Amino acid sequence: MNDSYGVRHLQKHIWENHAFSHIFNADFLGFALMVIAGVALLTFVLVYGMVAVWAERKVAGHIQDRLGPMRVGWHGWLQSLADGVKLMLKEDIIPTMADKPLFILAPPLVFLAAFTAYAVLPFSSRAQLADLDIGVLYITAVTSLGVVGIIMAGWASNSKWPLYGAMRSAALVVSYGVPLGLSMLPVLMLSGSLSLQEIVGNQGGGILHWNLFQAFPFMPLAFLVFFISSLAETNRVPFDIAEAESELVGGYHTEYSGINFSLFFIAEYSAMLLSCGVAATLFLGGYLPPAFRTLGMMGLPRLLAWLALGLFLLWRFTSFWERRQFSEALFFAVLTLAGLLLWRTFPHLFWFLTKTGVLFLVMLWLRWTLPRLRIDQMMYMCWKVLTPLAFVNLFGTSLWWMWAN
Amino acid sequence: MLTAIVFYILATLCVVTAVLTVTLANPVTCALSLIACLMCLAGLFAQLSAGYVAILQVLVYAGAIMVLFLFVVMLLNLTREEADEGTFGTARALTSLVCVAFLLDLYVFVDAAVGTRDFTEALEGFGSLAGVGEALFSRYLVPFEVISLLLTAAVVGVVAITRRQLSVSKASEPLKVAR
Repeated sequence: MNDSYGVRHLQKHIWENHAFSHIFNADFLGFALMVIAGVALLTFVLVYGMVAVWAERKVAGHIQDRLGPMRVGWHGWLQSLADGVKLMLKEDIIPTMADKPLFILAPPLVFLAAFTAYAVLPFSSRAQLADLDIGVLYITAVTSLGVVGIIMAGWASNSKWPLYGAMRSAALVVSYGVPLGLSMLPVLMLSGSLSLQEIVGNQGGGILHWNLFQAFPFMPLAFLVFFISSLAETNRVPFDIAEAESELVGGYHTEYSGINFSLFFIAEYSAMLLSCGVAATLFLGGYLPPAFRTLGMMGLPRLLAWLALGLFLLWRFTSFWERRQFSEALFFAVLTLAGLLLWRTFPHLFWFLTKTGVLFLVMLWLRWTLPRLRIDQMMYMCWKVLTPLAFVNLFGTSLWWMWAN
Repeated sequence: MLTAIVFYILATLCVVTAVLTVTLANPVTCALSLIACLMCLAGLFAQLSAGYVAILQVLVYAGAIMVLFLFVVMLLNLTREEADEGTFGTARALTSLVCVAFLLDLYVFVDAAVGTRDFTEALEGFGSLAGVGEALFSRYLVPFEVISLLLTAAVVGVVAITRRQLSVSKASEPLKVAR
């Protein structure tokens, strides 16, 4: 019975007298914890990106009256995994005339630029790797480095299509960084802080306290400018001239294959989800629940939401029953339960992912609806529409702020 | 100890990439190593808990100015011959002389500074967002506004010069879309 005491004593003895107790000081332990948290975040971002790729293909399919991927798993939900494995097994071709070190270095750099920004993204009041007091600036700075990777890729490929793509991307990102930064300023003005955690905290108290619904019409305008600019920053349609398939074969990643190509792919989707997450944090109350009851409608919105969910589930399950698709019904039931469980146990995470997801769907919707803009139209849009609009908006918000205080 | 390790890694990388910036033959790789150097500098600033300066280093220099540098270098499209054209002529000799003189100056100044002054710790909030903001809008307000005026003048000047050249070549007319 003295055994437990003995073991503890031995542990204490080892801890105090053994050599590695000096290595495992607080500094090192903190570092090790940071590494573990980083690896966890990396796994999350990779899975997140893969789900996003699948969602893109399904939404694309349904918008074009197709089914999209259907073969691997239920409605093709494992398609991204299968594609990832395929790309990993493919030969990684490096063109003979390419600048080899830069060619290899470019895809990880593009991915890193998107990934490192996730460190300050608040998934909940506690799930955040680092709450920097200059979080917003950190995200802008880190994501602006992605274009360096794109230029590296375009130049190192030593081929004309990638070079054109890289130059277009550089022009686009540098230009649209201006309205993007300007459209963030009204939010910072209202919050009085650059810490993402504080910006979210200032939007507490229900949907009417979200930054989007403040200082009408200035904040909705800021959100619009921010969203359009972040579409351009992530090279998405209608601003995807950097990788325009119909003009540039594949843009900056034309010469890439195998794992390096998939890195570009994952990087693009991580960057998209990141900018959706930042938009949700800055304008839509981040991880805070909408709390519709603050609207004073006696829980009517919640009742309607439950009703809609119930009707949707009824429709799905009757369809499964009629077609005798029991395995799919089981999968769907597990998915619904997982969603409800997430909502009840981690409401912050649930709301953050929901808001990000909705914005992401809007991005997909835009991609499969709008045609691509020409480069001069894009520059016109940036310098003659969005930038002046953002400046006027900033001025208006400051006037509103002075009036309100 | 960890701080020291990170410092030495960053400092070594900083020096190596700075040397590479000058010695590499290819202008694009030069620019890229300058970006790496700036990133390491940002890391050093962050270690001094001047987070705002570090972020600005990345945002302004590595993210915006160097991207423009790369853009211009790629537009010029230097070939190998143009890049290392010329031999050790008078111009290069003069340049080297100036460089050596500058290095000596630097040595003298640093030596004097280390000899006479002891390095005191920076004030609270130095290099933080609030610190920089307060300095810009109180003590350095006039220089700050003058610089912004100067930059605006430079932008207007550039536009004026390029517009004149464009109107000569008749290229400023917008593209007409066929309907």
